Formats: sequence, C-alpha cells, structure tokens
Amino acid sequence: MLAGGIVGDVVEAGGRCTLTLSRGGVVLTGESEAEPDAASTSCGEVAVSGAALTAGPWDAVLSYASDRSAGESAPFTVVVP
Amino acid sequence: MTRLLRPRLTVVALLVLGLAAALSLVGSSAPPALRESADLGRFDPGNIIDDTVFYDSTTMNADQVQAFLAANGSGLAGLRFDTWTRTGDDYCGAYAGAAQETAAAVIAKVARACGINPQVLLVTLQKEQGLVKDASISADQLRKAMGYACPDTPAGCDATYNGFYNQVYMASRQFKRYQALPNRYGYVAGRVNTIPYFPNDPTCGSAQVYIENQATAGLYNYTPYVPNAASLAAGYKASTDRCASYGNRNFYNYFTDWFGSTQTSGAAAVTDKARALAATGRGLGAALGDVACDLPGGGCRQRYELGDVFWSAMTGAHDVRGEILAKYLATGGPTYMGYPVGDDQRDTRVVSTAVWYSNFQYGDIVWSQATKAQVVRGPIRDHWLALGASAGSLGLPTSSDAPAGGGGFVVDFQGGSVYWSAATGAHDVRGAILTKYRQAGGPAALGYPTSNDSRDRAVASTPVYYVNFQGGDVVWSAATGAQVVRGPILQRWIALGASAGPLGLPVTSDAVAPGGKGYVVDFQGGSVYWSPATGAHDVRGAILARYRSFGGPPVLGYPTGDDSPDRNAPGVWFTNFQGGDVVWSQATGAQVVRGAIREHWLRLGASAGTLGLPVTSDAVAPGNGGYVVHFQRGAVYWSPATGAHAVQGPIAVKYAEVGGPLFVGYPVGEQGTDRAAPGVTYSNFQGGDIVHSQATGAQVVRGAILAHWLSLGASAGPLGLPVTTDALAPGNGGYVVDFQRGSIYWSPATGAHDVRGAILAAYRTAGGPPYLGYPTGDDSRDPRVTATPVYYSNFQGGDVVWSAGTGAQVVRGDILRKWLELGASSGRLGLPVTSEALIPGGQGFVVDFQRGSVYWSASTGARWVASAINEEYAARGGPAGELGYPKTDTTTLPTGQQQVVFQNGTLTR
Repeated sequence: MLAGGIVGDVVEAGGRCTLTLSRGGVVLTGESEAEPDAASTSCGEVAVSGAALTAGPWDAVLSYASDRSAGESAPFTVVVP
Repeated sequence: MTRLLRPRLTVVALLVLGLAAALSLVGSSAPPALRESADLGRFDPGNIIDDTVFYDSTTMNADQVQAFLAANGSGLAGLRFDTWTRTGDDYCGAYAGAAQETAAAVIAKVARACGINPQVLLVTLQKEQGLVKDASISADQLRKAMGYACPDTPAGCDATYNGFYNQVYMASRQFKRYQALPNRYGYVAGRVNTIPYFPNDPTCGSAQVYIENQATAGLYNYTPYVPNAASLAAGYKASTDRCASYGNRNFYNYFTDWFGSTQTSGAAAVTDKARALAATGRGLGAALGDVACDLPGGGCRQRYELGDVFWSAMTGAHDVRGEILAKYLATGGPTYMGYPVGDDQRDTRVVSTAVWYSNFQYGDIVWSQATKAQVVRGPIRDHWLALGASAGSLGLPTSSDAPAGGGGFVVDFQGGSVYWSAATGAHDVRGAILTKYRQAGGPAALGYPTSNDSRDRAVASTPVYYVNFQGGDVVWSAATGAQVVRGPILQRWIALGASAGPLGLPVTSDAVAPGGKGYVVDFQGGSVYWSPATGAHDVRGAILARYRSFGGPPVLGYPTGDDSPDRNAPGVWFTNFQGGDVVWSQATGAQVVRGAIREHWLRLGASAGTLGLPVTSDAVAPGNGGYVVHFQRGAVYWSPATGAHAVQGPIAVKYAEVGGPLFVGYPVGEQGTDRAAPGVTYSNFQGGDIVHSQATGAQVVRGAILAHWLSLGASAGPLGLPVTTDALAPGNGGYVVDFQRGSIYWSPATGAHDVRGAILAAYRTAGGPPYLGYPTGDDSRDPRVTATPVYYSNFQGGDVVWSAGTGAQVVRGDILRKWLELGASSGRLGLPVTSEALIPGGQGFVVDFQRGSVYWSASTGARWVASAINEEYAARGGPAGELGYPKTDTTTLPTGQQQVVFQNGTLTR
C-alpha cells in the first residue's frame, strides 16, 4: 500500500513521512524522505507492504516530522481487499 | 533553539492494490483580474497541459518574448537583471550569466537551459504575481516572481530563492524535478489523486482526478488545488463561492488565450513539417530565425528560404510559398485567412498552365503566372468550387476577395465574377451581362445577384441569358445585347410574359426618359414607361411611334394605362397618356387627341361616336392660338376664346375648304338644326355661320352680310338659304353672298344691303358693282306709288326700279337726278321702261319712262322729252338725227303746247 501527502504550511528539507496502519493491536509502518517543494513539503510514496497486511479495514494516519516541525493527517480508514 | 512547528499534513495519494485516494491543500488563491475568454468548458483537470507542450523550449526566442511583453504592456519589458552563471545539474543545463540581461532574455535562456516552454514561464509569472499584465512592477513582485519557495506562512518566502532570475530558474528546475522524480511528490501521474478545491479548508471538499501526464501532475504539485465548478463558471473573474480557487484555472486561461492549445506543440509540429517536406523532395531550405508562436490563437510560424510553415492547434502545420505566401501575409495572414489547412499544392485538374494553391481556414489563395495570387474565400469560394473551381467554367480568380459595397464581396474570375451578400448569397455573373451590370453601377445601383447566370428556357428561338439582381434583371441575347430592366418596368414586363411575351427582349437599358421625370425601357415589341405618378405601362407599335414623334413624355406625359383594344370600336387600339390619347386603326393610323379637344371627342362618343376616329393628330390650327383634330366625320377645333367645338360633315368640309379659322374664326357652338327651316343645319363661328342644306350645300355667311341676313329672318326669311359662300364681289372692296331669293352686298362705304329678284338681275346684267357701285339701301317698295307695287334698290351709281309692268330698269347719273327732280316714279315721267342705254353714235345716254324719255349728252346735260314730242323726235332720228340732243327740258307754252329745243331745231306740239 502506498500513500502520499502534502505538508501545507512549511517548505523544508530533511523531514520524514511515516504511514501508520493499525488493527486489533497490530501496527504496521512505512517511511519515506519528505521533499521540499515550491510552497509546501511533499510526502511522496510512503509504502507499507508484506504478509502482515491482511485483508480488511485498517485505521491509518500519515505523519510528518523534522527537526523543526511535526504533524499528522486526520485519521482515515483503508480497506485492503 | 528552533520552535517546533505543527504543520498541517494532508494525505493526497493513496494506492492500495490499484486504488488511490488523496486529500490536500496549500497555496495562495488570489485571482488576478482578467479580460480574455478561454473556453473553460474544455478545461480538463486530469490534463491541464500536454507534456509535449509543457517541455517544448523552442516556442519563443528572447526577441519574441520581449515583443510579447511589450505588446501586453508588461513592466518586465523594461527591466534588466544581472545574472550569474550556473553550471547546471541533473534537472537544468548551464546558464551563462551576464550583466543587465532583459527579463525576456532571462526567461528564454532559462527555458532553453531547463527544457521548459517559455510560454509556461510567462503564464506562471502572470498567474503568481501578475507580471505580464502589470505595467508597474514592485520589488516585492520580483522577489517572489514565480511563487517559488513561498508558502502561505508568516515566515513567507525563503530568501535563498528571492529575485527574478532566481525565481524563474528555480521554478523551472522544480518542474524538471517533478519530471525526474515523480514519486517523490504528492501528486503522481497515472493515478487517481485527491485534490482539494481550496487551501487548508477540509470543508470545501476535494475532487478525485486521474492525472494523465507529468506536466499536469507538476502543476498540481506546484499549486496543489483544483478549480471547482464555480471557479470554472466565473471565467477569469472571482467567484462568490468561498471554495473557489484559481491558480490552475488561470494557468489554463492565460495559456489558451495567449498561446492557443495546451495540447499540441506548434513549434515541434512546424519543424516536423519542414522535415517531412524535405523528405518528399519539397524541402523549404534553411530556417530563417526561430519558430515564433505568438500568432493569433496561439499559432506558430517558421520562415524558411523557400516559404513559411504555419501551425495552429486546429489546422496543424502546413507550408505556404512564393507569391501565395506574399498574398497571404499582405492580406493579414491568420487574422484574415485563418491558418493553412493543407500544404502548398499544384492544381492537377488544370493542365493548360501551372496553377498552385494553398487552402486556408477561411479561404483559398490561387496562383498562376497569368492571374497572380488571388484570395477566394467564404461563400464565394464555395460557389466557385461548386462550379468546378479553376478547372470549371469560371476558371482562375483574377482579383482577390474584395468589398463590393453595402457589406457584400466580389471576386473576378477569368470566366465571370461571383458576388456575395448576406441577403443574397453567392451568385455568378458573366460576359456581357457582367459588363452591363458594372456599367449600370453594380451593387450600388442594382444590388447583388439573386440568381446565377442562367439561360431563359422560355425562349427557344435564340439563346437568351439573364441574371436576376435585387434591384432588377440584366437580360442578354446576341441580337439585343445585355440590357437592364428593373423596378416597376420589370414587373410589367414580367406580367406580360417577359422575353417570351409580346414585348420580347429589351433592346435598351433602363434609362431616364426624355424630360427626366420617369424611366423607359425599349423592347423588341414596344416600350414600357414608368413615372412615380403613373406607374409602369406598355406602349407599342404605331402608337409608340406616334407618341415619340409627337414629343414623348415632355409633350404627352407618361402612359396612364397599357396598350389596349377599344371595346366599343373593333380594330381600334389606344393608349392613354397624362396629356392625351393616342388612337390607332389600320385605316386611320395612330393619332394624338388631347386636351379639351379630347374631352369634347369623348363627350361625343369617342371612336364609336359621332365623329369616329381621328385622322390627324392634334395640331395648331390656321390662325393663332387654336388647335384642331380632324376625325372621320368632322373635326374638333379649340381656341382659348371659344373652347372646343365640333364641326361635322359638309359644314366641316366647307370650313376647311375656305381656310377654317383664318376665314371665319373658331366655332362657338355645336352644329345645330334650323328649327325654322327643315333640313337645314348650321354651325356658328366667331366670324360667321356655315349653313347647309341638301339643295344648297354648305355656304359661309359672315360679318355684316350675316347680320343683315339674320335681321331678315335668316333661312326662314325672304332671302332663304345661301347658295354661295361669302366672296369678293366684282369691283374692289366689297363682298356678296347669294341666297335663294336675292343677294346681300357689302362694302365698307355702304354696309350690307339686300338686292333681290329682277332688280338683282338687272343690276348684274348692267355690270354689278363696277357699274353701279354697291347698294346703299335694301330692296324697298316705293310707298309713293300705290297703284301698283314698285320696288327699287339704290346703288352708289344709280337706282334700279321695278314694277310688274315695266320690269327692272337702271337709272343713274344726271338722268336719275332729272327723273328724281321730276318726282321719280310718281312724277311727270312715271316709271322707267328701259334701262339707261348708249345712244347710237356714242355721244349720249337715254332712259325711256312711261311718259317720256330723258336724254343726256355731255354738252347738253340731261333733258326730258315728253311722250308727245318724243314720238316726233324719234321719228326724226332722235339724237342721231338732224335735231341732235335736246338743249331744254319739255316746257309748256302759254298756248298749252309743249316745246323742246334741240341742238338743231325745236319741236312744238
């Protein structure tokens, strides 16, 4: 599973993006390096994969962190078919 | 220690086994004021711009960018910047810095260095800071010219990237990074992406957009929101919808309005076309300068040695060459003709000469050596094409599409011209008809053609061609040439069957008729005249000839009716004019009747009436101021003093014979019947009467003679009817009319007096006026003689005295005086029994009376000789005898005897 996002209020390099999936006590994560953009900072493809990613709904959140700032998206649900 | 920020993080792409979801927001949303009008119905959020366009760096060079900025009034056109050299990296090539470079040079050089369309950079400069449209540009606008590294945060722009050159270069490089590292950024091509409608406001919602290409993904990464329906509906304006954003909408608007399609790269297509032509052996030679993509509608043009290639999104790229190219540019190029829709081509249907052409969106340009390059377009082109174009009947164009007045257009071809107007469409006009149409004033005079050059199928005997125009027809045949017929004259001609009708073909063109108050067209079978007051009417044959010989419109006015048969008179035709009628029959020809004479003739029943048909035309009558028309059975005379009156039959003949008005003036009344004298008719004239009976014929009586006759009771009086016409009597200065029972003589000295019966006969026998002069009194009865009726007439030179017993005898001179002295008829001598007679020997005269004779000689005077002596005197030879002439009257002696002394003796009895 891939997710992407935009950090709207900051332009900076060196931050990291993290995708966190959780269900029934199982927590899976993936990371990518954030990319400074013209008027924002971009989270490109943040991937979570593997056998643990079983079918069904997962609670998801995308978060960003750097030395100077941190934030996260509103929680959302994804369904793995 | 830096403060830890809490930025908003938006998930924009989510891919789960082929499923992608997303959400996001960022950026400024200030909509610039704008004017043009790209079709936002064609805005495709998944493909805002094609990669081939976005990354085509060849569309404009520095000069073209500079010209573009100047044309838009941009403050950038006057700005220069010191730039520094960049060595280049994986995303952009090297940039050679220079002092005082123009903004245009910076844009063009960065575009080339990075491989970005300079048009994209111009649009972005406008979209972010309004730099193309703003005449006055602030330092702050330049500082963040491309909005690069400028988040909507209190900290604002990253100063590292401030400045015009920096901004243009870094933004271009950023677009190239999106291309090189697509997975490093939030929006990715080839997937469904969730794109917010408005920055940082989740309540505005988002769109699910499948992004088709990298250029579009880059635009969303650079400006991460998509216009909603309200934004698109607002065009260039701001919407009242709080969730409307404008960045990518305006990118599309500006690009489309300034440079045309975002989907096709004109510059690349132009060079491709040039290559393709070279491959087929029709190469254009070396390029002259750069491709320019600043043409209307975003079109491009590249000049080559042997011609130009033009490109537009609608038409693609095509070459235009030689004189056709010169013509295309001279007429305004794409603005006037649109873009070429095909390549420069030879017309293979024309084999007689080399014909080349280029087809454009709004017309063709056709060239041959003889006819040069000419523009044919619109409906005129369609018409020409329908007729076979250059290989058809019209042949090649010899002039270019040009205004022909009143909003219409014309193109001349070798075989005719095609005219077009909005009201009439396109129609061809040819040959002599075209020449005539133009001579007549063309569209300004006859309007535009409403039909094509056509053969008149109704005329089988000879080829007739015509063209109908808004304001009339032009009709041609070999025999009659091309002629203009129009307006009400045309309508009349058509009503009569046009060329196949009795009028046949026009032989003249519509022209002002003599006098200038109307128009006329002559046809083979007659003419049609028109005036505002009378409308259009036909005049034909002999009636037409007469109308014209009589003076036409200035004299008779315009026809008020058509050539018509007289229902009351078989074989008679007429035409009524404002100033009279022209009436025709085989026997009498065409004659003019007009004015009061016409009115009078009509009152008398016209052709079928008393007078019958006119045999002469209205003409001045002898004698000033009057007119006459002669008819089959009379004439009508008119003068200002008398009005119009008819004279008929033998009276009319007589009137004409004696000289008409010159002799007896104009008629003052109609012919009448003498109630007192059956069978007698008369007409009264100013100077006399003409009286007619079967027995006496028509005779003129006039002046004082007439007055005297009337005073005697005229026809019913003692003189009866005139048997001669007023004529000079023998002897100067007098006139005489003979009546059935006497004559009336008139002289200035004596007036008019009647002489009758035996007295008249004696008067005439004696020699009439030369002998006795004119009567000084009327025929009178002598009241002094009661025994028997005695009549006499006195003349200037004597008397004539009549009684039944003595007859009419002439007495005159000294003899008359002697007789009167002796008591005349009732005196000593009684009545004369002979007329004065010359005595043999010629020395004297004698008159015998009842009771004696009176002798006269010059030496003896007049002496009367009583009967008793006279018998002896006569027995002795009278004056010729021995006694000679009496020297004394008869005297009575005291003895009672009578005695006369003669020259040679005395007789006493």
